[in-house]
Amino acid sequence: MTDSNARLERRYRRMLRFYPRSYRERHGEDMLGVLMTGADDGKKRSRFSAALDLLRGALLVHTRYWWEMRTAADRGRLAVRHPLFVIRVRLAVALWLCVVTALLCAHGDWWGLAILLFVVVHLILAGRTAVRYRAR
Amino acid sequence: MQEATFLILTALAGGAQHGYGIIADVEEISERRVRLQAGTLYAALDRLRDDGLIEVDREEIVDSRLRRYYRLTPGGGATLGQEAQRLSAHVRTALSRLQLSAGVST
Repeated sequence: MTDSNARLERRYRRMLRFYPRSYRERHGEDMLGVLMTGADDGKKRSRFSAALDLLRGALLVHTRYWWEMRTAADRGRLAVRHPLFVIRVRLAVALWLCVVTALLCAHGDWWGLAILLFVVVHLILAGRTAVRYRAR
Repeated sequence: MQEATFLILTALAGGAQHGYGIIADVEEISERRVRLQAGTLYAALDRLRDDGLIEVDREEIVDSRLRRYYRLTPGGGATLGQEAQRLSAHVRTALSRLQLSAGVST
């Protein structure tokens, strides 16, 4: 591979970072192959249009992924809406609030105990999610 | 269905192909009118794969580069068939009307 080719490949690799990670992992190497094959017989102008097309593709893919995540979220299938994830976040928040309460009380700020109300709410919601998840 | 999608599916209807093969085939099918580029092609392949119209046939390493071959799924073949029928019905209508109007005007 010549120097200019190596440079071009680095540039394309950088441009692939505009894509979502999962997409890049799925198609990145394959796309580089196509881009470099195209570059072998390509002129400067066609390289420019290939780069523009990469940006266009990235925009398309991001839009579609975003849209599909939204519709998946509506059906409650989004990864961040996954029950186990929700439970974990709620437990983490509850734990963190407990720590805050403990720190406040250690300083003599007993009003901090009111935060325990939120801890209870988070634990209840986590429990509800867990029950629903097991019922499925 | 967009023209690029139609042409990609048509290319794969001839058998499994990898990215650059599809680009070359689409160029030939469209008589040099449509030249797909990597960004557009892979965005389309990704979508078609998610929709279950195409699937990975095999992977090869050529010159230390990955080549993933795609093929049409039965569902993809059916979708392409329906679209081709729809287009050809439109073409028939257009041609017959043109003939009719040509017949009237002469």
